[in-house]
Amino acid sequence: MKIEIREVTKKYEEKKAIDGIKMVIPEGSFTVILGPSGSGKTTLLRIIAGLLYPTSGKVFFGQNDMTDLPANKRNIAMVFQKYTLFPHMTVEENIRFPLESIKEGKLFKSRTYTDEEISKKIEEILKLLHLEEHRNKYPSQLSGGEQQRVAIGREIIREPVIFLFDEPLSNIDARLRYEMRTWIRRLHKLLKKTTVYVTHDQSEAMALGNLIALLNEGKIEQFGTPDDLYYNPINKFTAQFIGNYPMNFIPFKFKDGDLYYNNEEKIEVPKNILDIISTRKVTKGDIGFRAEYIREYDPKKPVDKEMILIDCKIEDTEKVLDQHIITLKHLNHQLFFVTKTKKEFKKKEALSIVIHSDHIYVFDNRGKRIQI
Amino acid sequence: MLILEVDFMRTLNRKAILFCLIVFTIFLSLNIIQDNKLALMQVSAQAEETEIVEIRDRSISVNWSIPVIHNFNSFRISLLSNNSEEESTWTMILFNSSIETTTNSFSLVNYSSSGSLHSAQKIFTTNFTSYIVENTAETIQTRITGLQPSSFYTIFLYLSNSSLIQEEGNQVIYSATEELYWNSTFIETKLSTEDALEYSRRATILSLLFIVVIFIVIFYIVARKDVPFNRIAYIFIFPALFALVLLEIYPIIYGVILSFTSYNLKRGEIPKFNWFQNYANVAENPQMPIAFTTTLVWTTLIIIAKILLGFLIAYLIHFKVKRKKLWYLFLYLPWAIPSYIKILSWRTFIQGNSGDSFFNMLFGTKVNLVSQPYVTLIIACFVEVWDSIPLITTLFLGGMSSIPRELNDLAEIDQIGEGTKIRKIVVPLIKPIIIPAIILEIIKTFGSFNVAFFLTKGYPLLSYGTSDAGVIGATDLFSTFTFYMFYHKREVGIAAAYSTIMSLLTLFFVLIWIKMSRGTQSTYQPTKKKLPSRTKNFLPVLGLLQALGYILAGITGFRYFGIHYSSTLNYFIGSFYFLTSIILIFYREKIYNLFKLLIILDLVISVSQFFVLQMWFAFNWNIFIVFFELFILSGINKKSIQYSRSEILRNIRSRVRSFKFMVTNSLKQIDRFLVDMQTLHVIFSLQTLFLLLFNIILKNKSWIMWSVFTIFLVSLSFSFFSNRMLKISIILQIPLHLGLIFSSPPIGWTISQILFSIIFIINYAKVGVNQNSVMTKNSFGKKILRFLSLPNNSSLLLLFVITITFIPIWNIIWIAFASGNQIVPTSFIPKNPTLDNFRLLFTQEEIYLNFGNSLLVALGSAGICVLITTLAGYSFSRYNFKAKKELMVGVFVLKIFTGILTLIPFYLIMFNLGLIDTYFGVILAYSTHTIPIALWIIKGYIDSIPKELDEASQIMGNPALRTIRKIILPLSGPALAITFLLNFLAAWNGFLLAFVLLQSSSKYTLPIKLFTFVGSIEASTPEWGLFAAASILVIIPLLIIFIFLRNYLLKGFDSSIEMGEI
Repeated sequence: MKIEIREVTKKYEEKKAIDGIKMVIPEGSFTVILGPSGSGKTTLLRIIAGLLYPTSGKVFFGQNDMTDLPANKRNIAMVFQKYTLFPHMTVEENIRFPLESIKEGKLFKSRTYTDEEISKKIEEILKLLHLEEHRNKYPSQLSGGEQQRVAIGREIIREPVIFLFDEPLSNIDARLRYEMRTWIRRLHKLLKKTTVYVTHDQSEAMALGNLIALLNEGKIEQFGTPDDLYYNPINKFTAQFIGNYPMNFIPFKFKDGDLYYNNEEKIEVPKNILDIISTRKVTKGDIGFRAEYIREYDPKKPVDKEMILIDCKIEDTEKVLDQHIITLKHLNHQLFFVTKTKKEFKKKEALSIVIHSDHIYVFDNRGKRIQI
Repeated sequence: MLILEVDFMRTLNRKAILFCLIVFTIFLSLNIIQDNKLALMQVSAQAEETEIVEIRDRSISVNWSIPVIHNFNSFRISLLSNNSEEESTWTMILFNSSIETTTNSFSLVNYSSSGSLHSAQKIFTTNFTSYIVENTAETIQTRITGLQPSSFYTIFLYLSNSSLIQEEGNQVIYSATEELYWNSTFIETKLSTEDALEYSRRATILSLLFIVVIFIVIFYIVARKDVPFNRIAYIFIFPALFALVLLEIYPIIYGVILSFTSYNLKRGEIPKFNWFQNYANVAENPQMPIAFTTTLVWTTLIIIAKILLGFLIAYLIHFKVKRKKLWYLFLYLPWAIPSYIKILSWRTFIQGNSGDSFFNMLFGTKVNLVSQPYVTLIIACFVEVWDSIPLITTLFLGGMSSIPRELNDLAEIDQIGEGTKIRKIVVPLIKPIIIPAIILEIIKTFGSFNVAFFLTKGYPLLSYGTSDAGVIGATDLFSTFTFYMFYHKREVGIAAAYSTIMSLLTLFFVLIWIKMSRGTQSTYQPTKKKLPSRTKNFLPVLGLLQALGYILAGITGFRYFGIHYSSTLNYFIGSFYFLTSIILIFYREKIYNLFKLLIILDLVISVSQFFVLQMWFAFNWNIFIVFFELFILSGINKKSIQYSRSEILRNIRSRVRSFKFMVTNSLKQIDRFLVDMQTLHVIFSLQTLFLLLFNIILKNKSWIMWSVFTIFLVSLSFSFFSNRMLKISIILQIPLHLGLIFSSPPIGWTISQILFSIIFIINYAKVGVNQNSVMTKNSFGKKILRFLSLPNNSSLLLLFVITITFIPIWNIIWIAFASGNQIVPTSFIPKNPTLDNFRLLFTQEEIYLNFGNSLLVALGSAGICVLITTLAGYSFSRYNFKAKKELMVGVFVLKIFTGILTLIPFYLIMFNLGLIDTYFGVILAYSTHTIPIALWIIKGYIDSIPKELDEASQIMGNPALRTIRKIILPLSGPALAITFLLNFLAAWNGFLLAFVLLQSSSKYTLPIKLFTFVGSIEASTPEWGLFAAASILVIIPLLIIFIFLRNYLLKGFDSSIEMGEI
């Protein structure tokens, strides 16, 4: 089912947690809401779930206005970060509970499922989740991963229209997290239900989602596919947030058809970039490039016209397995540079780097990207 | 007659509707009937002397003087009833010169004319009832009886010439001429007592309905305005709020309105609106300042003692002793014993049967709580303090446990002295938590009732405490006085005025409490920006107030405002205050020291007259203003007044300080172990002081103990200069005990002296071990010394406190098993112990009935309480509806106004609703008692259950109620248990409300039953044996619950304690 969020705002005593978000989550998609902590992503999810009432705005499931309906009438499923299972019930009772909750009738309600149906369904689910041997255990006797698996199973069994995940893997240890991630992805393929997944971990987001909404301070910075967000960030925040290392930025000034650093030193840039900057009449801004696309300057090779050459000084080096993460200092700002060469780098040495213009992003002084 | 009756009802209905309209629109009033205005008279021109004296429900009295010119010999009174439209009653008065007493048909009646009593003869004639009276009277008063209540009548007075004629054996009055002398306007007779009750019943029900409707409407509107998700929350808090509105808020309003009506239950009057008449009555009553003064003295003494003792015990337990859990247990065990049993057992211990008690036997004193004002007040304070030690200690312990343990360790490592540690670390850190708690304690003590009722019942009576309202005693507090006014005098209006005044005073404290507790949290956080304190602006106001008080006292001689010695002193101090305050307004900083000096002088004079004049009322209310001023002065930042201090002063100060250092240093050099010996000094001084007390209290005439005391005193004064002297003084213990043997004092003194000696020796040995002195050279001596020094002084002190708590309890147990009605133990275990008392309880007294009653009431009330608070607690914990914080605070504040403050309105409401003497009424009364605390505990506990659990359940499609049933209830067992138990105990142990509401002895709950065994202090034959046995029966189940469910209940408490902010 399609989820549509129309101008939703949530205020907590004058502080806006969600600030007028508009968003359409297509049917059957796996949408990840990504953002730093405090960006309002969980709030947004809870508004979709019906656990929070928005200060203004509306939430639609398909064509239906769901804003005023409380969570228990929305027929959705939600997996929480922690404390997901009822501690006083065994695994089997935990899974049974939602089925017993489904009732029909207006005044005199009766259960939809008979006891036999429930038992049959439970067997299926336990088999699917490989939890047969744990059925009589209490949640406190299970590991974190198992607990989340039971929690997910408990939600699947109800056949809801929408799945919501609120950082379900953040309390699970790193090794298991990867396993669970693939498992959730496979599950989504199997069920083909609209899924909204909240996380602050971008690798999780990249791996799981076919759509990512990047949230910052209650606003959507960018909404698109993972590749879009990585290769085509539309603003500085996205560029900075997505990627293993934060994007490097060098502030510039544009004067008389030339680019300058802050200290009036000229930057040699390819002409096509200069042209665009001049046509857009940008006087100040940042040049951005990713640490992965920096290459060491080889004095033997001449500098291509498409390349930018920057002279730096090594400030710090860090070796992680086969990778070198080098902190460079250029004028006043730090640059990160990642390489896999076996060469040893020493502190305080001079180092020049080159970047190809294809990998350069230009942002204006408001942080908006200028498309080249 | 039948027609009359119907008409009467019709009038009533019309009036009831009218009345309700008035009630609804103007006053929300209850018992206000303004019928005075109808009694306006129109006296006809020819006779101004005629007046209507009194209008009652079934009679009207008329007074008239006999006209000077009388050519008439009789009056005829004709009464026209408005309802029946005909003259219904006739009465004839005949003048006659003599009264014929021979005729049998005449019967004598009394009538009064202008003060003197005359006799009249009643004659039954065929047409009229006649009275034959002497015509010497000048005025005639007649009472027309047999009227219908609440009906309209017109009285006609005719002058006539009539004669009594015998006609066929009957008496007939024949009247010749007749002339209208006077006629009245419509007179409405009053409501009859039953009708008045009917009225107030209707008014109560209607106003109750009105309040309920208003409440529901407001509630509905607020709920509609909130977001849709929160609406269910309103449904959940509705029962709790509804109960509070019905059983707490409504009585408060009712009480305030009652205080403006004149209403005496005994006289069966109609409640009448009389504006501030009751308050005027209160102000005029000379007993009121006495009760007020007693209450103030009482509160001050108790609060100071509670704080000191509570702090001391908490400090010892938290920092000083090992095996904390054991001490906790001993400390809390008395908590399981109902307050009334504790207090009554103290009464057994101290008072016994009019002074024949264990205490007096132990110490050879002649304490009698019925005749010694000062002693009684101090003992009552002592009992009150001891009764509340567990609670106050818990408060302090809670505060201290929030101090990081590291700070204490740090202080120990840095070798910071005990005193400095307390002053600089402990007190500042626990202050923000403790102060609100202490203000609540003040409120509680201010309205405390139990001790003054059970222990002394206001006795001993004060000779100058007499008024029309009765006699007031030295321990009559505001609360007991109010209770007396209500329960014995049945002056509902006046008693309501008293409780309203008390409520206002309480409200004042509550406001302070709210202000103080705002911003305080469970952990200490320094306030970032300290705003310049505005409290010092109050100083000149207070000063002026005092000036006014003193000058007023000088003029009117109202002793409670001023000095009693002489009125000149009043003027002097008053004007001095005035001047100082005026200067204080303009030149603030420079005069603080002068002001401080002034109030200290004032304090000294005021307190001195309390002791010098030896009179209760010599106490002066100024003292409290002075305390307040001192409090403000202490809060003023010292830096802000630093510059005002002159250089000379500062010089002197520093010089004094350096001199002090020099002296102590030189003293230390003289005697290196001075510091180590400090405890010994203290104990030795205590021992000496105790000896002095012993000699004074026993009025010892024998020279032995006096000389022992002298030796001790001399030795003590020397030992302050040299520790060597102190070391030698251990020999003094021998003459002490020799003296004890020879003078053979009462056993209590001997035991205490022996204990003191032992403590002295233990400490002596400890110093010996530490110093590794000559005595400890051989290993055997060392071992003995080490063994002796095992118990430290802190645990001894705690042991002392606990022993004192358990002595009266032991006394009770002893009495229960002793034969007969013996109350003074003669041996540790009673000789020939019997179970007679227990057997009597079950056979003669049928106490199992009372057990049943108590169980029914307590279970019912606890059930209701838990049911409504669970829903409300869930709603408060999980939903963010409007005014949530305010509601939580409001609920808590409401709790403060229960007890004696709402007793009177509560009684009347129950009376009017016909719930007096029913179990249901009592259950209702107690069900709301613990709602605030229960709400806090349940809310705190549900807060600790992860929110995700019930959200998950909600997402699965469960409505909130099913979520509560399936998820929340199974997980919050301990909290439910503890709230249930709290309310159960409140109802099980509750005395006051049950005492007032239950009337038939078959319905008595246990506390009342137990109270009937002993009665109040002046009771002639208290059945101590039965009381003691019953007490044991009451305590044992409570103790079992406490001991076995201890851990489970603590779990409930622990998670709720981290409730964080309001």
